Amino acid sequence: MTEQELVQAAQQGDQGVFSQLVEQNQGKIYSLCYRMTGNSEDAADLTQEAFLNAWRGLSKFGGQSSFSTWLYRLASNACIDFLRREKRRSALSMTLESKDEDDHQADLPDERWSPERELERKESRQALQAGLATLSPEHREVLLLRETEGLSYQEIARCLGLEDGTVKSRIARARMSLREFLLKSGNFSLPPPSN
Amino acid sequence: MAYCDEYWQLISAGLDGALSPDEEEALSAHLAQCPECKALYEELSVLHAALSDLPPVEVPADLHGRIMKAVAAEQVLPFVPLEKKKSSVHWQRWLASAAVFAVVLAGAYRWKPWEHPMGDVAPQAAEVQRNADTSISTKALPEPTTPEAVPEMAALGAESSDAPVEPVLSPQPPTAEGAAKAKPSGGGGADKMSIDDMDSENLEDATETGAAISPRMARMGAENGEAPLEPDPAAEIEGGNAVSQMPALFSALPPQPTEAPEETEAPTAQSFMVTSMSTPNETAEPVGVTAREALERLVTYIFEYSGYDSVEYISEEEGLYAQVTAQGCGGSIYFLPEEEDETLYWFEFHPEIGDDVYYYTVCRLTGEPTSLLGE
Repeated sequence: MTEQELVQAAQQGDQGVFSQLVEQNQGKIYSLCYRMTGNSEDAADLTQEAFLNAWRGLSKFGGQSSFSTWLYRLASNACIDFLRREKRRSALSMTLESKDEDDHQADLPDERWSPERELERKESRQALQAGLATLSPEHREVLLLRETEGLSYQEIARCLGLEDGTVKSRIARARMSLREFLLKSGNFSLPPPSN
Repeated sequence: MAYCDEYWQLISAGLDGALSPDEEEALSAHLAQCPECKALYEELSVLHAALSDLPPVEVPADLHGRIMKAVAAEQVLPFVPLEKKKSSVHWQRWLASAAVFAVVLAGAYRWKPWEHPMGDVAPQAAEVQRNADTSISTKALPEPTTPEAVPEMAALGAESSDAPVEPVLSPQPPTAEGAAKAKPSGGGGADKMSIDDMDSENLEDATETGAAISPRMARMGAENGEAPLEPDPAAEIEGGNAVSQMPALFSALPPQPTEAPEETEAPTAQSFMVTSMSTPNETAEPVGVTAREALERLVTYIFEYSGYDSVEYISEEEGLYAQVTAQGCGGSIYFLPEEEDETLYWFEFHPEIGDDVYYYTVCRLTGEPTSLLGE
């Protein structure tokens, strides 16, 4: 079945079909939520919330955008709201997780990490994630949708209900903020681009 | 390092292949002769590559099961057949517009509904309109917020809200409950405001806009436009009858040619009649305020007492967004186009501080904002 057919069947209340849609899309939604929050439990909660909202609001999905774009929107909203609620708890609204190197998933650096150290591959990822954490949720989401989820400007605009121009300038600002953080923390010694 | 202001955004867009040929040419030419911008370009390229190179996130093995368990645990079907849902959802839209109608008529015409049993409405409606034509010119119509009218309405509303209305007036229970807790962007989309919300406290706010007045008030407005004021608190209307007759009443009224109200701040009864008398399933004519105007009014409404420093509007066919900066507490206001409401615009306000989310509606006709219960 095509995605459209799956959605239409799910709109009739078919949970089995909806399960297929979940399976097809959970990876990208979880990825966004994880990179937005830096925490697997929060990411799972927010992913669940996004899909539950999709299930409840299926009748509202008119098919003007792709189903995944709509899901991204639900997930973005959930993440932004979550991060706003968490905002007051710490400057970095993320929690640390300890993982070994083999199981590494762009973890946050621990608080004793020294910014003077030369970055290895793992540390550069940590620096990146730490930098992402300093961005506002709105900047973080556009940057992630572009860089890690690979959406185009138009898709992001559609997903977030923004103008193309706003997406373009917001991504540029997000990059500049990230660059500034890495420069200030002395971590901008990432490997040169492969092109 | 001082890169050039005009080029940093172009550099960023260039990384995403989002430049026009002219822009690309201009950027290349500039990078060839500006070492600072060239350095910026290289730094952003490194960032871009590093972000794109982040390893894929591993999805927890139990995530799918967990999601489907939550879906299965939902008490309701994910949807209601479209016609039925539309009519039940629109109940309260009718009440809002009928209530506005009622308030204006009550203020203008001072009728006694108990003296004029409901009959054929269409001629009465036409008569009301003729009366409006003649009487409006000689006398200024009170606004829906007429001080004389409001306390009486509020009192009546408080009384009638004590009498439980038939379930048909309540929002579709499971969907609405789920939606009230869910984000509107993905929620069931049912009303956030139910008959239960129409307590006297809400009415004091709501009567300013004429919305959320009790069904009895709406029915009084709908019945007749000729009797003098003095609504009789004793004139009880059977909830069921009122409810079952409401759609028929409005269905009987022919669609009127729409007119933009002369004053959006103080709409006349005539304009109310013209635009309120639509059947529930008709798409509202585009009179009144645009979504953007509604958002602007809502910004003013929300920040009426605290004021704000600046507001940025982002307006797009598919969505509106306002970011408000204020010394006390700013926030973001999202227009919710998913709420397909023929009489109200729906908005969601996220204050900068705190974890509350507030919902507002703005009347499409008058631009009057109404605050709903926060979550």
